[in-house]
Amino acid sequence: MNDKAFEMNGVGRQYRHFSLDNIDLSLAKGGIMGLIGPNGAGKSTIIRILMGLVAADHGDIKVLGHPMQASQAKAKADIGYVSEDMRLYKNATLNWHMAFIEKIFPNQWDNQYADLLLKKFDLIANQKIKGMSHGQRVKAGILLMLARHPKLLILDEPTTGLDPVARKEVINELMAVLADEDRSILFSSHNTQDVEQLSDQITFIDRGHLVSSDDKESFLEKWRRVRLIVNENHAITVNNQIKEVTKIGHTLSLVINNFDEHILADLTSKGGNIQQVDYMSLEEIFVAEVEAKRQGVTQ
Amino acid sequence: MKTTIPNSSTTKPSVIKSLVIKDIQLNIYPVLAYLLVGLLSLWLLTLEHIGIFYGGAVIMLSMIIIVGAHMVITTVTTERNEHNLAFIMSLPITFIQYTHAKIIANLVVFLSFWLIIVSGLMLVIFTQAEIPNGLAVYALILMLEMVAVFILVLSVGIISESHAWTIVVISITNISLSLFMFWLSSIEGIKNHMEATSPVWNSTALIIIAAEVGFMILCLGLTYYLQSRKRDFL
Repeated sequence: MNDKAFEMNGVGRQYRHFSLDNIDLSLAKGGIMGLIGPNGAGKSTIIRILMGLVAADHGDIKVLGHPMQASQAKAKADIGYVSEDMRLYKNATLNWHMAFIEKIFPNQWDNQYADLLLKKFDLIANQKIKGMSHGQRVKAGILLMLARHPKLLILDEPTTGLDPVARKEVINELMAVLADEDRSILFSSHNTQDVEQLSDQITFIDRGHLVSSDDKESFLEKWRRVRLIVNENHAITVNNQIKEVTKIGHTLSLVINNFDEHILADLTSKGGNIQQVDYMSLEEIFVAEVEAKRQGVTQ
Repeated sequence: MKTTIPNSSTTKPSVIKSLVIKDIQLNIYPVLAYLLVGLLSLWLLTLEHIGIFYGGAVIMLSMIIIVGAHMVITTVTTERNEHNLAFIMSLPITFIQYTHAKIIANLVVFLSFWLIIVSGLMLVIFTQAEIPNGLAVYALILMLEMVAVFILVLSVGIISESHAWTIVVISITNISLSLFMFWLSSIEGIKNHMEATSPVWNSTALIIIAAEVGFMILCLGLTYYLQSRKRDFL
């Protein structure tokens, strides 16, 4: 039995001004992966390839055990997909959309849960989509997806453009969904806060390349920001571990990868007086990872 | 709230049917309005005044063109422009099944409308003493040309996924309708029997009808061929 929600091996796609290069990525069933990257990094392309909406030039893709694009209909029966650029029919009501989805998924659609979500999201079933705010439309799309209990949720920037209250409602509901251990989620965003809150596995993408993919705790444990006072003769420079050195007067701020206690002793021996060691936020780690990767590529 | 996830493998394989019904539901009111005007135009054809008769004929032809254009634009190109396609393609269907649904929905609506109007037209021709029954052949060929043009517009809409190209083809085929009517009424095998007391289904008429049907099949065949070669659906 396949224990992966999805698997991508050596997947690539060449466009005129962008290419997705040899992506190897997988998510275990029940896992929650956050896909982080700047705009144009390739997040949506990866997601569209996974959904069978875009064909890869090469590589193998399996979603819920089904090869893509060949068996996309079978795979999509168990995938719930919401993307930032997805729109419902503006002249139809949410009720109409609910009836439409229920007709397509008669055995999966859960009316009770749909009603619960209507209340939680503060949506009116008889309201036409064109009368809804952007936040309400996004929540309507998420309701339609969740109320049929898909095994894999693929969310492409679902919180983009939402006000803080709507964003919290959506994130909270997604977190509630995570209580079901069989449910897997792939969640793309350039909002690292959302990803940090939801995901247990993080993947960084930049310029069509997979920068790194690891569990959230490993990322947070691996990186530190160290502030230290130095004299004029210090010998602290960028190396394999010290990814960034910023000097303000006699104070150095270092971004350190693969942090361990030994590096502090090493910094002290090189003329530094350690003042502060801080964990970094996911956003800071993302920027550091991307810059390190870009420097590695250009060196 | 349910605590277990229902087995999706039992989901009915009726997605195409649901998509067809969806397109019909979302367009039923404007189509019924066009039908009402179409039926009114048939009544105008029964009035004796020649000016009203021609007015009725123009309205009838216009309604057939409009219902076809409306269906293709709202169900195919607008769906893409307004990003509904991402919602539809997230459902358990392939792009070819999506193409089936679009073709079936459009043909069902257009041909139902067309059949009602053509039946009414034939009724007018065969019941009105002032209108020669021989005109039925010319009328049917003209009506089939409109089906062929509709299928061409539908094919262009589905293949190009472009509002602009679809509107260009609608405009060109609109202009061509007058030329087709002029050309058809100038062909001896058709012209000589338009005033006849009963329809004459000669080889000229049958060849033109066969060519029209062949054109329809060609358009549909090309649509499926080109759709099957597409790699990206968004």
